[in-house]
Amino acid sequence: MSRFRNKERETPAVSTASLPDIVFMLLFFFMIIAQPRDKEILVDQKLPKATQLQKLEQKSLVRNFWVGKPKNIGKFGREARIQADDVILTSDEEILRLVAEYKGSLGAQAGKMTISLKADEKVKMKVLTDIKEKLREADARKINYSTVKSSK
Amino acid sequence: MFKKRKKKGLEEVNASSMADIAFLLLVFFLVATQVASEKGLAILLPPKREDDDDTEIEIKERNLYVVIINSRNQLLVENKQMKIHQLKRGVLEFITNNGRNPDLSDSPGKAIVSLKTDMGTDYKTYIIVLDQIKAAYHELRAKHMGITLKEYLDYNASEEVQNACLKKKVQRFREIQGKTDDGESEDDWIRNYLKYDLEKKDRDPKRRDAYIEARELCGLTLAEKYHDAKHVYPLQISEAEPSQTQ
Repeated sequence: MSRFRNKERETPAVSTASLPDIVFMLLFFFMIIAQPRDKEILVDQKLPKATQLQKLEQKSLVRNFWVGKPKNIGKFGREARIQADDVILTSDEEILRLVAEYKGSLGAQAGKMTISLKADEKVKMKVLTDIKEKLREADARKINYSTVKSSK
Repeated sequence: MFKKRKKKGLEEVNASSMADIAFLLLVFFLVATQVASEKGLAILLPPKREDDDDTEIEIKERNLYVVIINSRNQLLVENKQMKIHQLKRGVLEFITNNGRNPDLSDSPGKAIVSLKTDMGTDYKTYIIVLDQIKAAYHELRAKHMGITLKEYLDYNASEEVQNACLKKKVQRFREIQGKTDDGESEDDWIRNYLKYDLEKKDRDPKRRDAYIEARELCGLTLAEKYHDAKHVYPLQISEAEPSQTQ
């Protein structure tokens, strides 16, 4: 008899009142650790894998160069190109001008500037050797090959 | 009428849509942001070559470990073909030879790894090879510091300068030299202190004494060990310049 009664009684629904709190917590977490993606990347980006990764210390001193096959093949062709800021460079010579600009904006800390090369793994070394030569010429010698952590 | 309502109690605002709103915001931020992950393999390029500079530095053949990658991503190490996964061991043997094998290096400080790539070499292969060479050096440095490889890779210099012991040492270093208010920032002084090289002939004996005394003040800090390890095992990778300038 008592069994019957139990079955008839409705089980109370799980309270979802705390769900918004949890989600808001997650939201704030992501808002704090993430920073807005301010630059659209116009070239292919599949970073190579490596094991010996080290963190770059002061992000404010890092400037990026993206290297890879352009996503817009019709406009920029199939050859690997270099992107800095929001534009694809027309020639390697522009690197000199850009580095001088970056250095000017950093002022006294220009010597600590690091150039982070975010190159697609399919890029040939010729492109990178050319960039490195230009960076040497512009005296931006601290460089960093941006890589992702290898699972091995 | 009014009384009747009050008795019922205030009706609760339906908050079930709150979760939906929050989820929507969450998804927006997930899509619109990227996690700040600035990690990679750092290297220092050699200084610019002056046109009139034709000084040649002589390096003994034994102190040079020549790694060549061809356009088909094959490896030639010291004139022998090698698989990439064997490279780390090869480099380790080369650095820690200490003059035993006449074909390998005299000492870790003199050892130089020469890395030559072809125009057509894949960047991916280059990174794997560079990674292997770095792995060898990092392993030795971590061992020298008495920490694990992971701890070495995670070592954060800017955190370490907060170390109380290190601060005390730098303070002492400045006091002995009588340079407590010379306008240089504390960070600069920490760098000065850490960079000090005892083996170099220093013109200022006061500075030398100051360094020796400060170093013995309290136990060796991780920052000092890190610099020592880098000094003992300097990562010297020489990359060939493009052929037209040779």
